[in-house]
Amino acid sequence: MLFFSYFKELVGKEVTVELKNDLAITGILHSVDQYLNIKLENTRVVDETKYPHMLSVKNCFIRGSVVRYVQLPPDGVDVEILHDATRREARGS
Amino acid sequence: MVAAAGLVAVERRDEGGCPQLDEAAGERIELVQPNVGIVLGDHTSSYDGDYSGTLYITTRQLIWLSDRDLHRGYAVDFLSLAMHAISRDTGAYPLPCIYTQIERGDNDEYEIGEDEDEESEESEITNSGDLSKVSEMRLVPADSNALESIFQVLCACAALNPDPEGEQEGEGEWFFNADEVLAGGLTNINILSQQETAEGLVQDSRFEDAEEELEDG
Repeated sequence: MLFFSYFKELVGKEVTVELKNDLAITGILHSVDQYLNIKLENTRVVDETKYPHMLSVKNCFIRGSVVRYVQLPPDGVDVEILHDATRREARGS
Repeated sequence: MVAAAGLVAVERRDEGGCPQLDEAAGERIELVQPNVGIVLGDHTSSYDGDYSGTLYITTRQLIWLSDRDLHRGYAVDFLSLAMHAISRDTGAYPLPCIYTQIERGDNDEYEIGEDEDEESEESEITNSGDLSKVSEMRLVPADSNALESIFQVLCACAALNPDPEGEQEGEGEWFFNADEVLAGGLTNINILSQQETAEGLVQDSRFEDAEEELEDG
């Protein structure tokens, strides 16, 4: 639930989503749901030479279970708050 | 069908020519789009302008049935649909379409749920070649104005099909705790209890597979 709450805060910011099949897509986070399904807009593929056919995609829906990493914008991360939230989550409170 | 089966052939349909649904499990059609072409794999140059199919989006899967060949059709369950997107740049592909990525059937993560009750489905895969290896699919509606509504219905239906909780094991289970279940309300409890049942089955078959593989090796 921590990730869900946290990603919701990032809506409207640019993130890079790396899929388990190595495809990495950068775009504006449009929405995220409780299963961490992610909708991106204004997308671009990080490695365009490897996935040229993906150039035509400008918005996409990514199934939460195929996401390996979400790279966050540095200015979208308040490290202190994230630390606190992570500790609270780990304690289960 | 708990497992993510990848792309499968659909060779049967009901008397009205519509896909056979698992109505007992609550499956229902959310969108029917006529005159939709289909392109499997990355054969973007071989597109033959075949619009002669109908796309059905149900609460559990996406089905395309040919209008010309009553035994030709394909289906992808939402557990296998890794990504979908609207593609409009005709420089990358000649026609505006819905672009999808499918989790391959040979992915270890998705093999664990295959059970022996689905023999008919397995034989269909074999008959139609390497469908389980298809990882990309394009759906090309003759009416490109339909792209947005197809995309939105796919989003809504994908959200109805979360993975069985067991697949998160080892990487995400720590945030599916009891407190979260309680905080999530009754709806989530119902969903989770169904998933726990499914998880039990998945784990059983996975262990069987593991033992067989060890013995074979």
